[in-house]
Order: sequence, then C-alpha cells, then structure tokens
Amino acid sequence: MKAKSIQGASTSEIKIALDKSMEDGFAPTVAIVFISVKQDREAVSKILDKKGIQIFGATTIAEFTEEGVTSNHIVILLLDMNPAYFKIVIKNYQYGEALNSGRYIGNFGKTTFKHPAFIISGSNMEAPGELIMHGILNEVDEKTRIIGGMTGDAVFTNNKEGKQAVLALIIDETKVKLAGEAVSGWKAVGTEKIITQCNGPWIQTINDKPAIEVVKKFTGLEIDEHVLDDGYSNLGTTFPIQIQQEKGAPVMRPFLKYNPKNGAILCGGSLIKGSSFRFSLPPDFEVVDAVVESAQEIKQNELSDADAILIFSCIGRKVSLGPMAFEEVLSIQKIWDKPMAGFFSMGEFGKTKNGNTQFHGTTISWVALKEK
Amino acid sequence: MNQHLQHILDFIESAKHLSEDEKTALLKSVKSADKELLISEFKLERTEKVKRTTAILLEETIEELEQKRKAIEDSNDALQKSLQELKAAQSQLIQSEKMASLGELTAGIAHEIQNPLNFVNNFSEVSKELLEEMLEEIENGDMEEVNTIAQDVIQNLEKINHHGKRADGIVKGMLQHSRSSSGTKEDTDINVLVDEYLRLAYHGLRAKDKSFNATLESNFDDSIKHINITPQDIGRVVLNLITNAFYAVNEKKKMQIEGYKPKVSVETKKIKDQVEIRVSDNGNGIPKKLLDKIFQPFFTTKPTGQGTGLGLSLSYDIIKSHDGDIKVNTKENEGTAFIITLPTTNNA
Repeated sequence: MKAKSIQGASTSEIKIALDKSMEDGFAPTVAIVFISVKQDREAVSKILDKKGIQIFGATTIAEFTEEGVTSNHIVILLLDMNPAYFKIVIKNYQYGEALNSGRYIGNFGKTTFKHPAFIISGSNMEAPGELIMHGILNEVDEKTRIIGGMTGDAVFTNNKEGKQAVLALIIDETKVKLAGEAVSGWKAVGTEKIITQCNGPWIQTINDKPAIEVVKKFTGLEIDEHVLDDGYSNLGTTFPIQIQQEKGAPVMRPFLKYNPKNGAILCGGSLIKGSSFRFSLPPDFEVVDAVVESAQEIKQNELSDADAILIFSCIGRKVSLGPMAFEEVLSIQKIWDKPMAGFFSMGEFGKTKNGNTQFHGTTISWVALKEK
Repeated sequence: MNQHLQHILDFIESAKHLSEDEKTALLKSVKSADKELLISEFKLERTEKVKRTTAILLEETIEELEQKRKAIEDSNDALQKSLQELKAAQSQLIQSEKMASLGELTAGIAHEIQNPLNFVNNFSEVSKELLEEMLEEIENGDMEEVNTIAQDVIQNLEKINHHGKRADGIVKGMLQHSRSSSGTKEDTDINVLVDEYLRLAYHGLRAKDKSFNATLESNFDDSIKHINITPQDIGRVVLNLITNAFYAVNEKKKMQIEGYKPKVSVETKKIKDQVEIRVSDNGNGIPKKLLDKIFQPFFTTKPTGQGTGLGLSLSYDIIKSHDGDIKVNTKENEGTAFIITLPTTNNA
C-alpha cells in the first residue's frame, strides 16, 4: 500500500497538493482528513469525493503530519488501500445511545470482515467514548483492535457528517496488518481514593466528600470561575486521575469541568461507583524516550515495516509536554519513516501494554498499518 | 522568537560580509538555539508548577496518612482486646473439650477403679474377720495360731495397699488429664500409654452402651523404647482417635449390615527415628468432601451436643507441637486409619 500525506492552509492549497500527489499515477482510495473547524470541510470533501476517494474525517484543534504541527489547517493522509479491505461507517447517536452506536459499528465490522480492526473517532467531547468502545466490544472479540481519538466538533465522511456521531474506518486485519499501543506516562501519586458517588462521567463525591473539595485540597488547584463555561479547562490536563484496573495499566480520566452547585466534576470518560483512583503528575520529560522505546519494540516484534502511521495524542500532552509533544509524535513517525497524520484528541482509544483496549485520556495512541 | 535571538537573526540576515552558505548555517544554529531555549523555558515553567503541586500533595497525603495511622492504631488496640477475649474463649473451649473427653473416660475409669476397690473391700472384710479370729486365739493362748493369722493379715494389708495405690494411680491419671498441660515432656512408654487409653475408652463406651461390642486388636512394637512426650497431651490425642474409631464402627453397626463385625485396631511401630501410632477402624470412612475439614476447629459430624468439634483440631495442634505429623487414610464404606508419627529424637 502506498501512502502520502498532504497539508494546506486552504481548500485551494489542498486541491493543488492532492493533484500533485496524484501526478505520478498514485490513486488513493481513502483519505484520512484532519481539518480545523475554520476550514471548509464540505468543499474539501467534494474535492476528494469527485476523485472517488472515501473519506474518514474529523475536525481538530491542532493537527499534524511528519512535516510539523499546524493549527487552523487541513492535513490528509492518502492511502491506496484495496477498497475490498476496508469500509467506512458513520453512525449518529443521540443522548444515551452511544452504546448502541458502538454496537452498530461493531456488528457492521463483524458481518463485513472475519477479523475487523476499527479506527474510530467520535464527535462531542462529552460523548461517552467508553460506551462507544464497549458497544463495539459487545459485538466482537475483546482482543479486537480499536484505535482512535475523540474530536471536539464533528466527524464526517463523503456527503455525511455528525456532530454527535461515531465514525469508523473498519479494516480487514487479514489483509492489512496493524500494530500500535496507547501510552500515558502520567505518574500516580498519593494515596488511593474511592469514587463514592458518580453518574456517567460525573464524579459527585470522593471518599464521601464533594469531589471538587478533595481535588482542590490535594492538588492546590485554584479554580478560575470564568472557565466554567469552557468545554475544556486546565483541570484535566494537569491532574488526571488514574482509575485502577484489575489487570493492565490504570485508565486515565482527565477532569474537564466542575459544577459549582454541588462540587461534582466531569471527567473524560465514564466511571464506576466504588472504583479507586490516584491523582497523577505529568510525565517526566523522558516520557518521550519511553514512548519511542516502546514503539521500537513493537517495530522489532510485530511490524518491521509500515505503509502509514496514524497518531492520536491527547490535547493534555500538548499542554503538559509543550514543544516536546510534537517531538514525541515525530519520534514515532521516524521509527518507520512513513507518511503520518494525526491530531490532538479529546480522549483516545487504544490498547495499553499488557492490557486490553480501553478508552483513555492523556495518552498518545498510535497505529502503524501495513497492507499484506 | 526570543528577542535577543531575533536581533542576532536580523543581523545575520542583513550582514553583507557573510556568504549565503555561512548565513544559512548561522541561521540554522540560531533557530536551533531558539527551539532549545523554548523547550528549556517550558520545562522550567512546568517544573515550577509540578513542584508546587507535589508539595501540596505530599503535605496533604502525609496528613491523611497520619490520620489513617491513628485510625489503624485504634483498630489495632480494639483488635488486641478482641484477640485477648478470643484467647480466653479458646482456653475455655479447650478446657471444655478436655472435660468432654474426661466424660468419655469416666465410665472406663469407674470400671478400672471398681476392681481395686473390690479387692480393698474384700480383703478388708477378710482382715476384719481374721483379726476377730486372732483375738479369740489370744484369749485361748494359742500363740502359734495368732502368729499365722497375723501373717495372713499382713499379706492382706499389702494387697489392700497395692490395690489402693492402683486406684490412686488411676485417679491421679484422671486429674492429670483434666489439668492444663504444663507442656513438660517426659520419657514415656508409648505402648503402655496407648494400651491404657484403649482400655479406658473401650470400657467407657461399654459402660454407657451395654450393647456396644467391637473386636479390639492391638499390636505393639516392643522395640520402641521410651520417647520424650507430654503424656497427658498424647494420651488425649490417642483417646480422641480411639473414641472416634469406636463411634465410627458403632454408627456402621447401627446400619445393621449383614455380616458386619466392628473392629478397631491400634498399632505402634518404630520406623527409623520415628514412632508410628496407627488407629484404624472398619467404619463407614470419611466422605471426600469432608476430608479437608476434619482438622478444622468446631467441625463435627456428630449430632448436636455429642461432639465439640475440637477433638481432631486440638489433636493436630498437639502432634504439631511435638514436631510430629497426623495423617488420615480413608475409604468410603471401608474404614479409616489415623496415623500419627512422632520423632524419637525429640529432646526439646
């Protein structure tokens, strides 16, 4: 499979870049489009659609290719994957239907391919990514690969988009090999605490005290009231919590918002009453080396060569690792040195080392693809 | 870009004395320096933030741990108190078990004491008659006859004394059994000990249930010398096993199986530096599902009020405290054998 990444600051720049990429006879069948909300995604879709290219698209805050990080731009990873080896599905979900949407996607995958792998994105950052994931896993084997990242505004494909929707690029894993993992690096600190009251992604009480009180007490967090209406605040990026799992690495849940009336905190991902968690501090700057080492191991043991790479890095990493966040992304790309695209996401899907597929926050989740 | 670096960059770009290659190389270096400076600034800023958070977290966590430590200390005190109460209750239970086994023995002991008492009574009556006869012979002045009667009385009194001591020994043994063990080990003839408890147990059961009958087989290895044990403790174990064996064969007998003959065997054997005591019965055996529970405290298959469920548990503890082992071989419907092994070299 041949892959090319293109980028542009406008629709016209993208059109030129696309035409140029196809000058050598390259005929992409699928375009993975990460595009700023400020760009005209409808126009870009039309250009791709005219060329018969299927679209897996998501809006982004910041997007990247092997060339660098951009904001307010368009990046596209073009692949000439055999159309028989993949399907793109979009499914809208209303409130409370995320699980069923996941099931729909999972069922579509299993009836289409014997061994499907799912590259997914969902729009609306308050969407229960975990339910989408569970919905898919309800239909397929628990070891099935699910990779992706949640986006803030919309996901789209040819002639269809959804602001509350899940989009899946379902790949036949018997024809295309995938390898990757999700790595966090945040370090658990302090004693274990118990979520004593919660509802979906909202934590109401921790150790029977209002959640915000505990968080403020243990982190010294100063809450800036004006960020309350913001969909995303610094709360989540600095002090995500690590929910302990029976097996495998803990699941990261960043804090997103809080309710001043009852002190409840909204997390990125649903929670279970009685779960124990620990606070965490941002990764050491050496985390980048650890992520790269882990990727190198995967190259050595699972996938020596790749055609393309997709990376979903939590927006929290951008805040926490600053200029090194892109170094991290680029270091993974350099291992295979193949075209890459990705964006800073609002929650990631992926399998941690020695664990099963989970919906995370604060991770970098990546996948390398190789058509057999 | 850093304003100083920007200044240098501007200077390089406008410098006319530099070649294009030199400019490119210098500009690259300035940009790299700017990137590294940016990263350093970021690292510094983040380190400060993390340092502050870590300090707060550490302080709060220490306080929380201190509160937990106090709570644990309180719980520990409460637990210590409960433990002491439990220990007291355990001691009481052990004593109850001893008294229960003493109850098993009472009838046997009564039987054992009855014989010397009969002798004492008979010989004392005979002696009284002899002494009356002697008084008559004194009056008659037949000193030869007086002398003969006196010899008989002396012999009688020796016999009375002998049987009195025998009864005394039995009573002392009973008291020793009921008393808390001092744990003092002494050289003991294990064959005599086992034989004594076998007889006591058998007569005890017979006294309670006249219909009970069983073949008793004993096979003692005479090569066993004295071994160093706490006799009343090992005695209790042997008594418990034999009583259980009798109970097992009696239960099977109640099933009125044709041709069934209850049999309990006790055997001692010296194997290298160990002594084996085997108590076997041909009862119903122990069901597999119960086998791993029989040494648990308070486990009993006997009807309520007939067993404390502590016998085998205490036996296990006693044998372990002698550095020995207790095992069970059982086959359903065929019988059970309990095998105790005790070291002969135990001088502790």
